[in-house]
Amino acid sequence: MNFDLDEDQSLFKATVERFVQGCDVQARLRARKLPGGLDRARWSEMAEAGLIAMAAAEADGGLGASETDCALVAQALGQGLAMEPWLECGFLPARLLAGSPHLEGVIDGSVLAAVAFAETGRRYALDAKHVQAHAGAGGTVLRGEKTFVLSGGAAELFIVSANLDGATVLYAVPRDTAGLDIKPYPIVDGSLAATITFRDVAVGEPLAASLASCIDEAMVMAIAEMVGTAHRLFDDTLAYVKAREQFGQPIGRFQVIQHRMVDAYSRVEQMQSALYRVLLVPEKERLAHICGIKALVSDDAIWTAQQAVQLHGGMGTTDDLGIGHGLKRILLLSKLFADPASAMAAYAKVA
Amino acid sequence: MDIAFTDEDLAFRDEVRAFLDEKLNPRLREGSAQTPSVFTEPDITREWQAILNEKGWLATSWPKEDGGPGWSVVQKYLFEKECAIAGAPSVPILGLKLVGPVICRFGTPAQKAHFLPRILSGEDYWCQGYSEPGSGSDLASLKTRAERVGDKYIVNGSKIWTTHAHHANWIFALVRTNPEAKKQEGISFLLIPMEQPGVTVNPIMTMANDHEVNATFFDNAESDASNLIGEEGQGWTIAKFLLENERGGGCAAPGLLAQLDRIEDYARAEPSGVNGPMIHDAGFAQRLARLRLEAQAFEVTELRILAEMIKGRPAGPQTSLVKLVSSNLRQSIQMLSVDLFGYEGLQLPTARPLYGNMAPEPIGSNEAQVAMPTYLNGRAYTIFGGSDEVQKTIIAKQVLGL
Ligand SMILES: Cc1cc2nc3c(=O)[nH]c(=O)nc-3n(C[C@H](O)[C@H](O)[C@H](O)COP(=O)(O)OP(=O)(O)OC[C@H]3O[C@@H](n4cnc5c(N)ncnc54)[C@H](O)[C@@H]3O)c2cc1C
Repeated sequence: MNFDLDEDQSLFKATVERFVQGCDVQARLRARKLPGGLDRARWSEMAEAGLIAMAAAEADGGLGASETDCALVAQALGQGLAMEPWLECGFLPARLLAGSPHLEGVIDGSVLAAVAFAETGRRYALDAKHVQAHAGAGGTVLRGEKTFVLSGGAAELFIVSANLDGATVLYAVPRDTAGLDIKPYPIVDGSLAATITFRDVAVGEPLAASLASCIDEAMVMAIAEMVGTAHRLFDDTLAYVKAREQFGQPIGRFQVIQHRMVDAYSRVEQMQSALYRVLLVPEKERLAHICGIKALVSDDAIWTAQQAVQLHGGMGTTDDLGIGHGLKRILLLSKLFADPASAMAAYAKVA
Repeated sequence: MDIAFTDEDLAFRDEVRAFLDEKLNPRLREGSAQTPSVFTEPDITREWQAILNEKGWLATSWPKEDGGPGWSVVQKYLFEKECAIAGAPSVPILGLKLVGPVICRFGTPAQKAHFLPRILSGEDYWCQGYSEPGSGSDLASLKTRAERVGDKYIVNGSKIWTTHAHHANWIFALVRTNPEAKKQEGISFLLIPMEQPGVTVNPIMTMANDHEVNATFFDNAESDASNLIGEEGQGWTIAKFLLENERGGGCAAPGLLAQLDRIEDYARAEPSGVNGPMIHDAGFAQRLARLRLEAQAFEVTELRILAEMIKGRPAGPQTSLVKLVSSNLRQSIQMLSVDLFGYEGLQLPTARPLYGNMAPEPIGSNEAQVAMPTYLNGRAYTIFGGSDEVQKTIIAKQVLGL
């Protein structure tokens, strides 16, 4: 038994730590004002560092990193409060585009890919219904609408789930394809999601990957990023209650604050262990297990983030500290692919 | 024991209902519902203020001789309850509910004659300058200095979290007039005009993208000595009066219950994506039910306080719980609303306002659009006006004798 990082893992972690250096709140607010709400230079940097390639198989020109390696990167990105949509535009597309010619541009960072999996009125359902793939003599076209396409405001390529004769399949659709109507809107982490309407959008062959299994892996990454983010908010809050003085002493001297910090510490450690469990323990019902751990970690991460806000007082409620940005990213991740209630319900059914 | 209102009170309630029905136009209702920040913006509150002022129903917490409607505590409660149920906007509370009653109670006849009518008419818009960067929970450590020079005070220092200072032309501030005196005793309550070179207001954005609070700086700012309320050194006593005036006789539960009703309506329409609408989702329905029970119990807590006030008895120790219970309940309701709307609850518009012609188009319903910014701004409820931790310490000491 051993929970130490191996050499590759330490390297990945160090790479991320270098990458997130200097990514302070001011840089973040500046980047959100750029077209698409994203700093493309930093995205290229991230790609050059191999952080997208790691999620693709070696046969596909990637680095073929393990799930644990990827999760450690997700955690480090969370710990660094990175604003790059690595999970939704890096990791997930790299998995979904396995074997596709579109993969290369995604890996080298020249193409930003967004995944269109959500549909209006279908909550967290992942089978496609509202976008239909119609196969005709002249080829296949997509019709319908997707919503909550993360970073859809910035992406050049969409990976769209569609219903083809009752089955959910995936298509790669470049942004400039005729018949796409993209409406961007701002969401909680400051990025631009989009609602996309497809009007007889011509597509090629479906992708080989399965949406469901790639989403399982992405959920693990969401867990890892939440764990990292919660760690960071805990660390920042611990430093704050040691430094902030009221009534002539650091607020960390008040017993209620001490106990609250111990509660947060205990939850963060539990979250870390839950992540290791999902990574290291083989489970028969792996998907359900991932759901259960995502529900648990989401609840604890939200609690920790809310306490971080509370213990920062007025400062915690502003957009000027990483605290609020961490809370907002956690809120998004906690609902990504399933919210805590639906994830826990899925787990309880098999547990 | 009896929980009913008298027939007379019910007749008053009906009169208020009819008035609200007639006067609450769609713009006011929309402005009130689509406000994600803690305070409603002045363009909405001032329009409503003018309507109430015309009717004489504006300064509900002022004595009749100063321009209040002369209502009983029950009438005041019923008015606030009906306003909450009808979704009426708030009025600018910093002037009407905070500094107004202070001027009524401690002001000289000249101060009353000058300031009170201008609060009623809306000519003056007020903000509150208590907190400082180094003095939040420990308010008595405040450092902003006001020095008497001739017939003026010269003010230096900085205040923070000044809500709506960017709209205000006056600030009521706690300032230190005597640096030698013991902490509380050196503090005075001073009114300071905002429109002068010595006052600078810098915006602070909330994590929901709202500009509600500010940092306000005083650099040799001036105020006439006649703008001091009470005596020098009496500031702490006045500040405590203001706080106590705000507590007790509260009417938060009806608004919370109305919000739960709205959530329920939306839950009847919101698809669960699995089977039927969200209201059929057992987990969701139970959370909603639980919060409704808590809000209903809290409504009775508020009525118990009201009953004491009707009898003219000092309000009981339950008063100390009101802020604690209501702010936590409010935050849970705000979270429930975010959760109801699934991915649509994650939208966070950057443009403001969210009402009127310029409002950004919502993804889904209007309610879904305000859910997240309301939740994010709502984190402040357990922080301002005495944080949860500070409230609990006070209750532990003063109520429980620990
Ligand atoms: C949206 C908003 C609007 C506001 N509007 C105004 C306004 O208009 N005018 C104005 O003057 N002020 C305003 N405030 C300020 C507000 O009253 C202060 O934020 C509040 O008093 C807390 O002070 P602080 O932010 O400095 O936090 P701190 O006092 O630094 O507290 C930080 C944390 O430590 C805890 N803590 C502090 N002391 C103790 C203790 N003894 N025991 C246990 N825990 C403790 C607190 O509970 C909190 O969790 C506003 C604040 C907000 C967020």
